[in-house]
Amino acid sequence: MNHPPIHDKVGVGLRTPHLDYFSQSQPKLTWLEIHSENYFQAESVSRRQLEAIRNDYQISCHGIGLSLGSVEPVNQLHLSQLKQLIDDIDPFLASDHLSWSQTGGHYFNDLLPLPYTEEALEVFCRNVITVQDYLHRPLLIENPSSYLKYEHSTISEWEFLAEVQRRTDCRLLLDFNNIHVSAFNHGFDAAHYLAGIPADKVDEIHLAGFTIKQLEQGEIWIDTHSKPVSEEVWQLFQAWTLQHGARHTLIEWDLDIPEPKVLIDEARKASQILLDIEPSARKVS
Amino acid sequence: MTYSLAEIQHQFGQALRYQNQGERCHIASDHFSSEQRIQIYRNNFVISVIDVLKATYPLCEALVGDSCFEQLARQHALSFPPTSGDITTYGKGFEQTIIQFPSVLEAAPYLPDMAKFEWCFDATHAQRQSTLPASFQPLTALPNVEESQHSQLVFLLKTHIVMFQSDFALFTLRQAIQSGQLDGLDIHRPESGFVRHLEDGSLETQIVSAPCYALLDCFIQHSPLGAIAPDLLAHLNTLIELDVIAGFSIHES
Repeated sequence: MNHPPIHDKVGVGLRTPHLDYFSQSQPKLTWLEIHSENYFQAESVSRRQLEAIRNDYQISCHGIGLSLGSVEPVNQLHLSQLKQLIDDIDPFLASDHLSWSQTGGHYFNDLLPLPYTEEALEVFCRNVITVQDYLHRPLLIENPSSYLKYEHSTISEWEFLAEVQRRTDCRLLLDFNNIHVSAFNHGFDAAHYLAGIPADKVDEIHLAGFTIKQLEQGEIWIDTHSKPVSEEVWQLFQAWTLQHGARHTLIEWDLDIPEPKVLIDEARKASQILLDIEPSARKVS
Repeated sequence: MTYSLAEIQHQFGQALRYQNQGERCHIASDHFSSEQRIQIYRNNFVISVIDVLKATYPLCEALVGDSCFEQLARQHALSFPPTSGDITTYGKGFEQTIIQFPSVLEAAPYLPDMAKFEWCFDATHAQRQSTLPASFQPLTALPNVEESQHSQLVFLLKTHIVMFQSDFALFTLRQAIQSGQLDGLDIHRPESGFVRHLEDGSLETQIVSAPCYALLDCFIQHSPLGAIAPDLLAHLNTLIELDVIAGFSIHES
C-alpha cells in the first residue's frame, strides 16, 4: 500500500527495541527523539547505533534526568554528559521537564510534581538558566502529567509554566496527553490550560497514550505511554494546530513498545492532521 | 500555610522509599487520600528501577524467576536508590542485596557471584573509555626490544577486558542458560576467565586456566616480566593467542 509522505514536522521516539529497525530500514521520517540519558555512555553499543542513525535523521534530545525543579543545584556531571552528547549528536532540539527527580543524593527516575509557589518558581528558573548558559542554547520545557497537587500551591501549572518561559526565555514543549491526563486527575479544563500557554513559544508537541487505573474511590489516569493516542488528545492537537499552526510533533511510546509499524501509523495520523491544516503550504519529506 | 521546597522534596523522597507517609508531604487530598496518590509515584519509581535491574541482570532473573527477582530488585531499589540521572549505570552492588535473603542463598548460593559476573558485562563498556599510556608500544615492536630489557617489559591488556573468577562454574552456567542446556552442569566447580566486548558490540566470555588467570592479574598489576614467576610466564603465548594483550611498555627501574 502506498502512503503519502509523512509531514516533515512529525517524528517518533527512538527506543532501544527499534534501534536495529531504524538503522536498517530507514523509514521516511525526518527526525527522531531520544531519551538523552540512555546515550550518555560514549562507548555503548546503543550510542554507536545512534551515531549511525544520525546520518539519516535529525535528532531531538529529550531529557528526563536534569531534575530542574530540585532545590539542589543541577548535577554538574549530568550536565557535562548532556553537553558532550549534544556536541557529538548536534540535535535540533533539547528538552526536559517541569518536574524534579533528585533529593538528598537519591535519583528517583520519575517526573515528580512541584508545588506551584514563588519559591519553586525561583528554583526552577535558576536551574533552567544554569543549563541554558552551560549548553549555550535554549531548552524546551515540557509540561508534566501529575497525580497529586500540593496544599500550598498558589498558582496553576499553566501560569507557572508561562512564567518560567517569561523569566528564562526558554522554549516550550507541549504534551497534549499530559494536559488531558492531568485535566481529568485534577478537574480542570484542558482548553483553559492551553489558553494560558504562549503559543508562539511552543516549538514541539508530544502525543502519547495513557492508562486508566481503577481504585475503589474512582478512576485515576496514568501517563504510561503504552497505548495509541486517545481520540480526545487527537482532537486537542487538531484544534490547537488549526489555531496556531504546525509544530514539530512527536509520537511517544515507552512501555509495551509495539512493532515499528504501529508507531509509524500513529505518525501518519499526526501527519495527516498537519497536512490538512496547511493545504497551501504542504511541507513533506 | 507554606512549606519550604527543600522540606517538601525531603519528605517526598522519604515517602517514595516507604520511610514516611504521604500525609507528611502536604498533598491535597480529596476522594483519594494523599497516601493513595503518593503510592502511584512509589510504583512508578520502584517499577522503573526494577526494569533497569532486569536489563542489567537477565541471567540472575532467569535463575530465580520473575517473581523472586522482582522482590530482590525492589529491595535494592529502596535500599540503594539510583544516585544519578544516568540510570544506565545503575545496579552496582546488587549482590549485597541478594545476600540479605537467606532463602535465596540457600536455593541458589551462586547467585551473588552471578550478579557480580553480570555487572562485569557493564563494566567492560566503562573500561573502553580508558586509554593506554603514552609509553605504550604495539606487540609488533617487541623484536626491537633489546634482550637486556626483557625483564623490564610490562605487558598491557586491551582496555575492554574485565577479569572474573568464582567458586562456581558461572562461565559454563551462562552458556548453559543461553543454550537452554542445563543438564549435567556441575555448578560447584571453580572457574576463572575474562569478559570483553568485541568491536561489533557483542559480549564474549572466556574461561582460562588458573595460571593464565594469575598471569593476567600480574599484567593488570603492571608487573614487569622480571617480577613474574617463570612458571606463569610459560602461559604468555596462550594469552597472546587469546588476543587480550594490546602491547607493552618498558618499566623504568
